[in-house]
Amino acid sequence: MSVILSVKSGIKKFGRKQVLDGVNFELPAGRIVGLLGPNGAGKTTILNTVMGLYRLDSGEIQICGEAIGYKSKRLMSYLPDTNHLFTWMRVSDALHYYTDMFPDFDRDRATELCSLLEIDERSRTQSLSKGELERVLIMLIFSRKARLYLLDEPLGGIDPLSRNKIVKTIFSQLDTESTILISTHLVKDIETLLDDVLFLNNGKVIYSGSADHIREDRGQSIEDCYMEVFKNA
Amino acid sequence: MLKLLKWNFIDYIRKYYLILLGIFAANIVFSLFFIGSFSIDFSFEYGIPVYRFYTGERLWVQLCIITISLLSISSWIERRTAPLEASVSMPPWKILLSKILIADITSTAVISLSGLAVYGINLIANPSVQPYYWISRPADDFSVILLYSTTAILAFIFAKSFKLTRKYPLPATGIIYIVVTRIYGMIYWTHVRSFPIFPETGIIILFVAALFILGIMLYKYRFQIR
Amino acid sequence: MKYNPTAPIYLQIIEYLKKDIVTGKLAAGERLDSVRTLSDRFEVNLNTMQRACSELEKQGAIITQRGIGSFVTDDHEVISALQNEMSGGLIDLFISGMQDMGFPEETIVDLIRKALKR
Repeated sequence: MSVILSVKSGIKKFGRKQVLDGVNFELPAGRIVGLLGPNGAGKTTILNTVMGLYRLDSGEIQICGEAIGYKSKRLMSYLPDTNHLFTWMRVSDALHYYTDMFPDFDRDRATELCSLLEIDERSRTQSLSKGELERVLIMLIFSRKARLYLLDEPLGGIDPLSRNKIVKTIFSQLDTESTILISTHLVKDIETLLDDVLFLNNGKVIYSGSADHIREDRGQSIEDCYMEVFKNA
Repeated sequence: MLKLLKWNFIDYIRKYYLILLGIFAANIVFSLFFIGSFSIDFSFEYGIPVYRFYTGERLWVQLCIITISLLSISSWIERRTAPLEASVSMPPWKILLSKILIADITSTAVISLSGLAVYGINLIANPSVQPYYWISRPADDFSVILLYSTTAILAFIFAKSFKLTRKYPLPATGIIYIVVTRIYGMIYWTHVRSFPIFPETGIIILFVAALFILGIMLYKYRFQIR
Repeated sequence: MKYNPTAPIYLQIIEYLKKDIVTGKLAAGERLDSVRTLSDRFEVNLNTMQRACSELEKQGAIITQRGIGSFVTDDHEVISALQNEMSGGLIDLFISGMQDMGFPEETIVDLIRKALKR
């Protein structure tokens, strides 16, 4: 199995705050991985750093074996926890933008996802509800054929109907060549999604393992395991 | 590259068309009422060939240029839409070039058009006013504005590339910009003025190229949004 | 589909599929949908579904023919063995529950007979 993402000894300080304090992990292909931890643990920072918005003070990040740089961005599809689209955009504008700027964007799949997720292409992104917006953003990033999908809090504050649709879309995206990394502090909501988990606390990975191992060998749900690990952290 | 330019321009205009109109109108008002007297002769002085390189005195024009340049990098300042740009796989020079061109073309358009408007107003008041060289003026303006808008953008990138200045990016940008433009002024007065055979355009091109290369280096190795 | 988060999900899927096979909802020899379709229907991760299917294959409940597809076993011995296995579990659960409450053997048998007549 090839390694999609590898982070070695990632260290990052913002002013006085040590946000990443030696982060080490590897993501193999074909898995849905949960990056779990409380707010402020460094989850968004890791995602932003992999995307090149921040730089590590020291450490190494590799995507599919190549060091991160502008070229490696074509392998990644990022869903930030904010609305990162231009304010004036309608969904149709966003579709045009993505078609123009991302060669791996599949317009047919986008149309398919739009109907699955019940998205109206003419709607203004600024006037959508949280759930509707999240569905649009998910549709956009999953219409791209990337090796690594980075989702930052995709299910936070979303209504159950949208949530269901989003989860189904995430599932359908998985194939043997790509990996989906979901960062969240809402462990319960994504319990049944995950293949593997990474627990992040204070900028360090304090636990990593597969969901099956947690259930089979520890006899716990991921949430139980999380509570136990973090209580002792 | 073209797609990048297309979308950056669309976003820029849709977000800031009101500000640009405001600058356009303010420029007219400023030229008519502050620089020269209404109706006597053509009073929008900016762009008179003799002052091509050095616009130091024209703080008002500088303000226009720096505002427009910073608007072009607004997505970096605002940070909300930065992830979208960051997702696109483009080499640094294309990204930088696109931002510089947006700032440059927009400022040239705003300034030249307002100049034309002032000329038009003067023409109405006094039909025998000197002719406005409609083609050559914007072309002249373009190269100088290129220099100053590149400087403004570079100042921001520089500020965001070093730990010390990253904390206060906007003041740092302002200071760097002022310092560098003073330097241009000094160069102008000591060399270009004294040796008129020195090709001004040549110096501008040299500076812009140097800034551009510096910008690419910084953007590639040191620039961070936060 | 609701899953118990403290037990491996693939095991829960296996139980569900076995039940279908035993009750005949999935007929002997019937062709199964693709793993992807199944994972969609069960609302689980593809990997989880994959694991469930591999495990079922190991146990002989499913037979995969490369290039053709996956089929429920048409070996009726296997199916009745499955039936026994599943019912055994149910029976054990019932008996231990009743015994915990203090019912002796004959009473349990009587109660079952009466309940079946209803």
